[in-house]
Amino acid sequence: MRALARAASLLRRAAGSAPTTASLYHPPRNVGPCLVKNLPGFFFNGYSTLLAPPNEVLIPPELLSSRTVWTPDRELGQYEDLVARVTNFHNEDKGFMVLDGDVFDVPIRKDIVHRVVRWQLAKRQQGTHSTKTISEVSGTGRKPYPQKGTGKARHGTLRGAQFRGGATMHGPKPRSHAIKLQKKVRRLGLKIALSARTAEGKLLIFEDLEVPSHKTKNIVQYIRQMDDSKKVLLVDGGDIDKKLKLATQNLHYVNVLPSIGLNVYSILQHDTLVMTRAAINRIVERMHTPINR
Amino acid sequence: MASITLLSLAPTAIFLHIPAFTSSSVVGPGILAGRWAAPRALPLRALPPRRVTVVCSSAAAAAEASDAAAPVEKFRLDNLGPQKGSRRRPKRKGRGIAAGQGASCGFGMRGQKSRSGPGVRRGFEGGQMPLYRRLPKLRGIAGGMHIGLPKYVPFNLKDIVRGGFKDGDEISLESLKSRGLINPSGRERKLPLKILGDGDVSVKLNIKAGAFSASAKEKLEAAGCSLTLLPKRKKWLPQNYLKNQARAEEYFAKKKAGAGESDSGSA
Repeated sequence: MRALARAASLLRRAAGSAPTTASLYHPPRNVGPCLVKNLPGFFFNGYSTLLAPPNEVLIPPELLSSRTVWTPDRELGQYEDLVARVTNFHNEDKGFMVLDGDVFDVPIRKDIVHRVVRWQLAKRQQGTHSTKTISEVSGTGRKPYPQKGTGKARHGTLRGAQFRGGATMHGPKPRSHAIKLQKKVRRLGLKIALSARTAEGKLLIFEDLEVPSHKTKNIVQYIRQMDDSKKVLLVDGGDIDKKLKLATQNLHYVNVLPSIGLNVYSILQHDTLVMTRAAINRIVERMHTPINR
Repeated sequence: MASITLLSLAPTAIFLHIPAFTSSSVVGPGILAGRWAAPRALPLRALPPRRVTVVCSSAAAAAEASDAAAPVEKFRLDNLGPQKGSRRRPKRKGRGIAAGQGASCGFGMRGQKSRSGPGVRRGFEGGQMPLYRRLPKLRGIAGGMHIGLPKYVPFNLKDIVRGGFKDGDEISLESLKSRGLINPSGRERKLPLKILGDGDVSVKLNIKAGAFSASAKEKLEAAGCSLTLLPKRKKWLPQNYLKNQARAEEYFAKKKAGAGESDSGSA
């Protein structure tokens, strides 16, 4: 009951930043006590405020069993504001944060994300491929043999496309592969990607991305404790901390981005998205800025 | 935002048995880790209870993993695609006669348009006079900048009543513009004012204009208005022409004076 009271007070404080009212619903009590946080082999990184008080005793794992409970559900894509739990690398409670519904609860549309990803990859393409035309291939333009009298087919040059050492007809030349996409569609793609990660429960909100030192083993330990996270994208608000950069640059499954560089392709490349409070505030502010046209 | 929803979502999908809401989204109710379910904000909806598994031990997790269903589709790079119906494959011409674009690729048998190379040039209509030659050439600005430029800015007497003029008021280009009765714009700003005679006038005004029509002059003088004819814009003439004109006038004046003296001498 104390945990619920603390959760209610935290929720009320989080709701105080947004001028709305919230009421709490108490489902029937049919679950035995379960101290997930104190279990040695299981780490909980979802969104929940029902953490056991530290003074409660630890129950042996063999005495516990799985049980079905009722849980409230919510519809996706309703542009409703979400209250999410804020944590850090050590999975500690750091309060709550309100996520704007028009950025994190957008209806999921796979075709929009597909267009944004194709646009990103197309404009990323370097386009430095090059072949030689018949005027660039080294060699003489001399007529190989007379037009008549030899019985062979007539040829004017030995640099044609059918000859060995000849030119390439209609071959690739350096060009830009960029395609155009409306700014509103790009912005909508980023909103949908963020909403998809939020709906999957793969968006973690951290207070900050402070690491004790530049050692990589700290990050390795943190990522190992994250449940079912193979590839993690860390998004910070402004500049990346030097220690964090050094700690993650040798890990291929942890990438760090400033919030200005957050994009749909990187979000989809990683299965878990970790954002700080500052990063979320910057992203929401950017999504709310009117589009200049 | 109208309401707040507490976000309680599962870290993994392997223990969930909820069907996906849409074909391209993944939703998972939360794993509860305590005595109470997560608090929920308004509005409250009566939803049927759903089967959710609370993982309390590793043994239970292993037991659940054995009978777990196939994981719900995730939002990744390898399952994206355009909307159904928004893309269609191109027409493959010359690849078989089944659908009609095989042998001649839709070009038929004979004719100029069945030959290779660029076809008929744009605008060609088979030898008849094409549209761009049937219509006359552009009038207006295409005939020169001076085409269509009027000589005066017209103003009729019937608009004097609309302007609210009283005895002793002055009518000129500036006063008409300030009252909004005329609105010359663009190249018409340099044209002089001309008073036209449509309508009647019953007040005594001081009118300054570049020209007056005959009927307007008659009506204005009958009403007792004073008419001031402004001089025309001086025409630009080259320097040599002006010099020659001055010299010619001087010569003829002298000659006329000499003729006068000779006449008086003969008398």
